[in-house]
Amino acid sequence: MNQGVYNKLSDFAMIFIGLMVESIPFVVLGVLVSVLVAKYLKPSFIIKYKSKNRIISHIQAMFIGLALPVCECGNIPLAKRLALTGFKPSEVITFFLAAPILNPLVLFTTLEAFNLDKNIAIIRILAGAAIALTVGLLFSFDPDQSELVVPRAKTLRSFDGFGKTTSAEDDVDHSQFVEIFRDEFFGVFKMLVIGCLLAASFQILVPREFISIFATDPSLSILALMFLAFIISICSSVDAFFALSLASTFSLGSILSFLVFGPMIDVKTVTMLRSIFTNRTILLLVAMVSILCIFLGMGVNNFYKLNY
Amino acid sequence: MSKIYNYLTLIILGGYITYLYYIKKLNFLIHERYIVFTLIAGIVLLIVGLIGLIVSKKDKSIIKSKMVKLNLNLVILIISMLIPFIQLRSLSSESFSIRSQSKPVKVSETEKTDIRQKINFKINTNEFTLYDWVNAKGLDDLSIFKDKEFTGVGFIVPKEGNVFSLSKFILSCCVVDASPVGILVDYDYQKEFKANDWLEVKGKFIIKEVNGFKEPVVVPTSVTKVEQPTNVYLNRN
Repeated sequence: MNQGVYNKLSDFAMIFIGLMVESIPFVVLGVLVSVLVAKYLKPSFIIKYKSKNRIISHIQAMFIGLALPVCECGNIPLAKRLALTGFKPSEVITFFLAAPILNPLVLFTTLEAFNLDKNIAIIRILAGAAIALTVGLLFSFDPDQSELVVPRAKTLRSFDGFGKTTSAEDDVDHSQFVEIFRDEFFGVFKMLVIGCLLAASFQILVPREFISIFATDPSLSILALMFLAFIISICSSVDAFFALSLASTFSLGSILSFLVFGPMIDVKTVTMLRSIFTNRTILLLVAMVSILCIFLGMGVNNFYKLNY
Repeated sequence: MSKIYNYLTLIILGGYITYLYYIKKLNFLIHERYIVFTLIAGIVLLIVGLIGLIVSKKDKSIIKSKMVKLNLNLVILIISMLIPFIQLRSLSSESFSIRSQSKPVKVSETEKTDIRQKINFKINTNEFTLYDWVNAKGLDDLSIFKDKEFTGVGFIVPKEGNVFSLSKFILSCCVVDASPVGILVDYDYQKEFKANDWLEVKGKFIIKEVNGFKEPVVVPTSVTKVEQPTNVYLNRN
């Protein structure tokens, strides 16, 4: 085999395995938290403490991520479980869009990477929260919330016996842990494998220099970095360091679009979201987040100057 | 049968991660700071997989259904079975060019401060690693390099003419974010070596114009081919 082709195939395999091995601990953590939620958090409790007010209930969902320093891979299993435990699909959308950005680890790494201008971290957090809240609220106006999710997400297994798929309200049984773990892990993992294959292919096929062509145009640079964020599927806990490496080439607006868009939407996450939401919901979600991130980038490019 | 496939997949993945930790090769895939976290996840998968398999064996309905159907669970199992056969290595010079940008990788202020302190307080730059020199490039002060001794290990990424980049990838999290970095070496390597060969280079820096830019370039006093090291990547602090 041609040495160049062999090297490319080898790199593809390394990136694919690397993505999987990097994601698995977060998925395991997310599934474990989800199993704990299934066991201890009853829908009746959520219904009791969740606000009836549309805006406040979405803000509550937005802040759940603060308690969980987990990136997007770990949030998907939990998002599935929350959808069964008294949260509306629109609130779940706000949760998983906000959680990868509104968590202490992401704040710390963004401050560390861009420590010359701490406003970058602040803008990232505020913009992430605003976009998550806006998109969730827009979805909340959909009269038929149950149509947003796929049927299998409505029947996630709980502590109710092997082979059955009922709601989470039933009595719990410790012996079912392994079965629930398997169910939830593979609900996400199958999509993760496909997402990793796609992300690894893009990484091998699309040269970064191609993205850099658009760096000088303020508007195109935003689209270019959002596209890059979509294809590379980098973990939100460290993407600020990667973004730093682009800072010498791209505008600040495009960097911030990358930092907000990437944790919310990438090829791996979109594939994994198919285990919860319908294709129509995912399409709308991607469109809304993309438009808001473009506005964010353009706003920053026009109205903000770097403090260094 | 899907349950069996799933539990076997968990055992293979968990066993693979645990084995990579045991042979100290997890750092081929992820940043060193995530190794323990990943190992714990691997052990969880291994335990859940083993328990699940034992419990499933007692479930007669599963054992009776011997017919193997091709479904996504089986495909995932097959992919998982193939993964341990893939030889782990650093990303190649092909990925170096795909991941390169027109401008050098920017280093964080913390990294700049660290390297400034090293330069100010440690006179003997012989102890500098490739990572230190790459960070020193981020200071945009070429006088740092002039006549300084260099020793470093990396792989060959061909550049124009006799110049090659002694390179490694730098990781923030895992190979997905690997960014190429390197120090240019002025040496007619093509007679003895080829792209992707791992070398140890010793020499001295000069400032030379390469592709229209003034760059620190190493003129080697010795170039030795070495085996792929155990730490193939540079880990960002």
